[in-house]
Amino acid sequence: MNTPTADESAGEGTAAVALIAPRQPRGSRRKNGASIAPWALVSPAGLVMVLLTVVPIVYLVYTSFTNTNQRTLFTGAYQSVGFDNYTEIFQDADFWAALARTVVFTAAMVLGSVIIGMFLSNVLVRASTVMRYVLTVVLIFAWAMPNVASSQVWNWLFQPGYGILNWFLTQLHVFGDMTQTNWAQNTWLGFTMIWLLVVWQAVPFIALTLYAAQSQVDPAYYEAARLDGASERRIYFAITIRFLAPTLLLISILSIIWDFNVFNQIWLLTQGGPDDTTSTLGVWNFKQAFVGFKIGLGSATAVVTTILLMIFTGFYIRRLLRSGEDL
Amino acid sequence: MKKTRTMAIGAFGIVAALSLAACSSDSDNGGEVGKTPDATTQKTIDKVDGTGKTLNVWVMEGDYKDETLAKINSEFKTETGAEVKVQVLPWANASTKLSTALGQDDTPDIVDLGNTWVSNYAYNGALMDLSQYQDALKQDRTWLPSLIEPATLDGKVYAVPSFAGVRVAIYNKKIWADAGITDVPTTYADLTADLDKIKAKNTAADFSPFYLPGKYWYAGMQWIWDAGGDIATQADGKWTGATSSAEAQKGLETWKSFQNTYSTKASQGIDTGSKTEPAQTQIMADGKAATIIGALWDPGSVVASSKGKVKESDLGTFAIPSSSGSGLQPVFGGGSDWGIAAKSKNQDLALVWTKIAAGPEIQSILAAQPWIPNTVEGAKEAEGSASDLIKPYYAAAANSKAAPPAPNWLPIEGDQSVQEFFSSVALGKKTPADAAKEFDSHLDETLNGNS
Repeated sequence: MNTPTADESAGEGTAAVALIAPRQPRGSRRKNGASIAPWALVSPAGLVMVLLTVVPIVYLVYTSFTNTNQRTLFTGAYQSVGFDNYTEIFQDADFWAALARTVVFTAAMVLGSVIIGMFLSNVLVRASTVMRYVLTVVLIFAWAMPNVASSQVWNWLFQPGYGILNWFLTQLHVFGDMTQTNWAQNTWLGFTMIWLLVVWQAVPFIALTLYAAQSQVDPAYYEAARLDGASERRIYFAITIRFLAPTLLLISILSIIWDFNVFNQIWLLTQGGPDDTTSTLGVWNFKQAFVGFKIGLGSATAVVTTILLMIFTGFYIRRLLRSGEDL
Repeated sequence: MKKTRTMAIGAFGIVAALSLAACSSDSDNGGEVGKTPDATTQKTIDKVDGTGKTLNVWVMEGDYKDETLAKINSEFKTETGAEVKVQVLPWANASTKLSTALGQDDTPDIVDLGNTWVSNYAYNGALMDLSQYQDALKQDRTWLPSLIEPATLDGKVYAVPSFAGVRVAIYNKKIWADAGITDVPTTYADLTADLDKIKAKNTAADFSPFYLPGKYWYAGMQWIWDAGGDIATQADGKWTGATSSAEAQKGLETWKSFQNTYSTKASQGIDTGSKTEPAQTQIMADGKAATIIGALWDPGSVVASSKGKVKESDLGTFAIPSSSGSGLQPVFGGGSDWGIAAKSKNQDLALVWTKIAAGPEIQSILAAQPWIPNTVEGAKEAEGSASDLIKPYYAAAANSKAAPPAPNWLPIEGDQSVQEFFSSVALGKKTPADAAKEFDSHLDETLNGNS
């Protein structure tokens, strides 16, 4: 059997191709003119990027080497402290606990959303046209909901005393009387509540992207496999998964980056509580910088988080560039 | 590809160079906080022509009625010709919003501050030193000590008292009468005996004889103070967390057993109500709580939330009796002050506005809102004309206590540690001793640290 290679199905490289299109000799054009034009074309967008991304990052890095605090906001006074903030972070047990929590929680969210997304993309492939439309619309609604609004809805669903979910769980007569349960005040229930919300909103993008990739698989492969007597399970793992592999990898990298940075949902549901046990790096960072107003320390944490994420982004960019080159 | 990488390395190099270069310079470009030439010379607040100018005033949600603000603003406009723009700030994460706003160049000129917040902003240089305008702002009256003390730092005044507020027990007369109780309790033993009767009469799981949310630290502190304990104590300029003391522990134990006995399980881990939590006034309006601890505006909220089911005449109030003998439990002396931003470009106008807002005329309107007016004289007048529902608030106010007046107290309220301290005990997740040990070490670190 002819096994498809990863790159044959890769469609995600197109954007990168445009960016690094091979330079073609254009006759006797002056060398200078040729090199100014692209810069001129790129400069408006580049300027915006420099102002909105590079400048704040430079400022962040700079602040992380100072003792900027609440007083600095009002008086402008601050001092350079060298690497003190970084030393303090790395010696803080809370930082390591928050990092460990973030890694585990990110893994749980990425796994959850990718597996459910794969399942739904399979459902989409097999569903009738009407059902497919219905499912797609439902998914897009969940996806389109701003996460602050959905967190608020979640809060109402899980509210102790009044929440409909607690009422429903009580009606099941399995967990006993749940009406007085406060999800946000229990570490595991709190995490479950956040996990459900994040995964619920992450699944649509993953399901629809995987469905798009899955529908591009040449039916001839499936036909051949079925003629050879392969089981549906075997077909899924031998053919579909292989075709999906590059997309899956990309989605996983993106999900890791997004889920690592989840902040709104956690802050709005549990505020990192109870006792900071649902506090991830983002929440810990926010509390340092904007509640305790240790802005220098908060900046240093943000720099550390950014470096961790750059490692993942590095993988992502390498893949983008490589798939672009091979096409 | 290679070019991209080179460029990326180049860009990173520039970033690194810039940041290192910037770090190597001595960047302490700020001055000493709150240094004034002579604090004792009193100045007058003169007439200012503010035509064409706009004063930005930030008030906290629920503190002032629209009519009250409109009255201040119209008087201010007649006097100066300037416009006023009022912005209402919700309580959630307010300290974060205020801190960032006060640091901007287009800062609000006047801010409405909780009395426990003033020392933090004053210490950090966010507020204008008002010491020289004290006499002009007092307008021949004496400010309530519970308001002016937290607004004073190192002998200098940084905020103008606006109103005081305390909390007392609000009860539903009908539920209490149905349980056979006609008189308000005068001792702690009476109170628990009454609540036991109400509990026996109302057995629903979501009913509270006395609804007392676990994170409601203003209320929880009453039991600690009553037993002779405190949150933190200061000696030789150093703050020490005091919740582990025998007295505080005793108070915490009494509070826990009271909370667990008379309030619902759901209330153990929440506060009095926010956008995400049920409001205690709503719970009372729904008939699911016979009693709550509430502020001056809360009887009104209960009536409004009940949509006609509960009338003001159905509600009564009483100050909670002390559990250690006679008298009343000490209460949290809350209140609000007006602060003028150090960075404000309209400080002269802001002084005029503040003088009007803190003056006797506006104060009598505030007394009817109802708040406790900012001066001893005003409070006495208002007490004389207060209704039976409001009178117990004045009785409770006579025995009020405050949060530690440490500049770094604000982060303790902001990071929720004081709320968590109480709720972890109510939930039984920690023993009072363990919770206190952790909270004390957090207090030691935060109150003495440089925020």
